[in-house]
Amino acid sequence: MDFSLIKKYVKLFEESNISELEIEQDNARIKISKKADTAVQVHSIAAPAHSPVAATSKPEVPQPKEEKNSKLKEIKSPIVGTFYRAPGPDADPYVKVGDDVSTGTVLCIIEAMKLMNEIESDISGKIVKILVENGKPVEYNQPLMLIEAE
Amino acid sequence: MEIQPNFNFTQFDIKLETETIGRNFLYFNEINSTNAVLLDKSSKHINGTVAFAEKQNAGKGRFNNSWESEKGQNLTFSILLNVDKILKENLNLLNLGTAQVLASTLESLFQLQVEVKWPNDILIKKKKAAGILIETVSVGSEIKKAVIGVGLNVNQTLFAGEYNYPPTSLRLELSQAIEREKVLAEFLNSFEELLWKIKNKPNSILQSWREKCDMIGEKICLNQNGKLKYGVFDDIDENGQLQLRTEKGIEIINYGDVKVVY
Repeated sequence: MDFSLIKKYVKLFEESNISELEIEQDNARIKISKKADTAVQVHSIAAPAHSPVAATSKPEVPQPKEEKNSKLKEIKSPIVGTFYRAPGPDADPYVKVGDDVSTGTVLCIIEAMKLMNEIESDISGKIVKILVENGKPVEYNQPLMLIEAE
Repeated sequence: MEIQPNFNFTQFDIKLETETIGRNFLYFNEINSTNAVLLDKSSKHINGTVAFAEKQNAGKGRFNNSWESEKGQNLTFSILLNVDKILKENLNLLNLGTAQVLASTLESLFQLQVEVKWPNDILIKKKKAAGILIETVSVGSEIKKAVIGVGLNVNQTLFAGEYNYPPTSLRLELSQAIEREKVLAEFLNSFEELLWKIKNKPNSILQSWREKCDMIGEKICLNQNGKLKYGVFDDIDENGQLQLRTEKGIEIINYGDVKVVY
């Protein structure tokens, strides 16, 4: 895959609302995704050795700061659905920014067609950021919250 | 036929032909919610466990909705499944498939016309006979278990109170008392087949669901937590999501209550 072509994809991608893009061409595959904020990351996957591509192409945009902090853990959505911070429309949210959570604490619910998926924390720590607004749609693997491990 | 006031295990067991589903059977005279029993973190029930209650004191529907059911008359139960990789990727098939399987079971047992209402309600003559609520638990970003809660109105004939959808029961539709044990066993037999289909014939599930849904092609009103949208129920997509056709084009819907607008 041509380097200028990758640059073009990245530019188009940055301007779009898409959160993840994967392109496969001539045995080379690139995956571009937006993490947490709007920064763009390019991952090259299984680019063949003879290919003059991706392997050396560094992301043009710096990675989000959170990525560098290894104590920060992203909680991602396991399904496509709607994000809810509380067990009911008038109820208090399960967690707020700054709350301490432990393993097993309920963090949020994702609803997909009357299937209610409750997400529990798998670590102990503090809620640093809630990345999605209550009632908004979420995609598979979309980061929902950041937890700073104890 | 005389109906036993309590559940007859022998009758149930004779008709149950499953390998795992319902082989571990928890019977409760009264309990808050059969879903809650199986979701309880301190419990260690095995895959396929069925929790059954003669009466639920806090039967659950979506969010704050409750499921009301008269003691000893109906089927209110939940099934526990450990979620493996294939099931995790096909929860939507499990969801819509459960409704389709319940509709088919009732049709073949009673020669009734049974309809599914998106995503997973069961209607007989436009009245609601059963509801399904699936709850899953993720630890971190990994789904670990799924609990499929089913409420089916069997022998109840009076429905006091307010309902989002007019209720009915098998007895009201068939004008005779129904043996609950047979219905439950036949449904669990078909449910186990559904799990096999999810792994081996996934494409057939949504097609069977479509064939049982009379709302496709109709003008509907969608209620999303109080916000109303109108459009035509065009179809479901490959994930079972509703495709709502409005003036703006096709909108993909994955939650809300639907009603046909006449």
